[in-house]
Amino acid sequence: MTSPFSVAAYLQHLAYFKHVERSVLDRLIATAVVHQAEAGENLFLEGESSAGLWMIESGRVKVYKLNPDGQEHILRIFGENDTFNDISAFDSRANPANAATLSDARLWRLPTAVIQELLTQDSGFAQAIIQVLAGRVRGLVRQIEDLSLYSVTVRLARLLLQQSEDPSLSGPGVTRAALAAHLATTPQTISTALRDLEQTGAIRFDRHEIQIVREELLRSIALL
Amino acid sequence: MTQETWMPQINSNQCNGCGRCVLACPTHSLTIREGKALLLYPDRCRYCAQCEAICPLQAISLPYLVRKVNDCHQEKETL
Repeated sequence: MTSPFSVAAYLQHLAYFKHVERSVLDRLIATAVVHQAEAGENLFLEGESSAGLWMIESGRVKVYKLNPDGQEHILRIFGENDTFNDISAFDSRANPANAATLSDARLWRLPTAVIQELLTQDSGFAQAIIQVLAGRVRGLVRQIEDLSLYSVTVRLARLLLQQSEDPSLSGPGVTRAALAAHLATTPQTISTALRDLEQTGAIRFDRHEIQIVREELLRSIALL
Repeated sequence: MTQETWMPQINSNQCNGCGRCVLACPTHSLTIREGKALLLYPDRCRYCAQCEAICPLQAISLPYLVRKVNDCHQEKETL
């Protein structure tokens, strides 16, 4: 049996809050709002004012943009113990993208005003934010590099390797259609690329599992 | 995670009951009921993803896991 979720333990585990004093943390925890969501539920829309910093106790969430035709591009998939919508929680500006659940999920939210208050009072917290946001910027630069320079097969090989190292990036709600929306292509192209990878011997399918059987080969296909 | 997690998920709001998935399914696991696709025989499903690929409305989705498999273990299996 898993132990019940503890907001305190969770926050202390996050890089943001590692150096925040326990008394301050307790005040933060008192403001946390729990949100039980069903699969496919919209959490917030691009352009709306930020409701705060979101944390995932369980489930999967996609953060995405829509083009004028309504086609979706998934910027990132988040899972257990991830936070999302950090940017607008920290700069108090509108949400830069949309968010929706990919599976049933239990989420927590720290209101923007509380985050802002802590930001002005605790320099250690501000430094931790800079570190984490720098990591996010690096991730986005990598994503632009992948989208602009590499084929779907290379991008898919890179994503499969990421997914194998981070269990929250695959599982309930994460489908070929979600992969396609993340890699800016179609589900049919993803299916073809998966078959190509299978034919190389780098991966194999076992019912609902995509198994990486020759990691070095997959890394070479991923140009890593 | 329950076994149901690893079955084709049919979004009945998106499905228009065109029946392409029923024809594509090699194990005849799907049917149309009340104008919507239904996984009638889940135990037959081999998770081949043909229903997902053929659906023009992306109403069927198959979640998956990615996992590294130990090469040594694989060699044993293939011996």
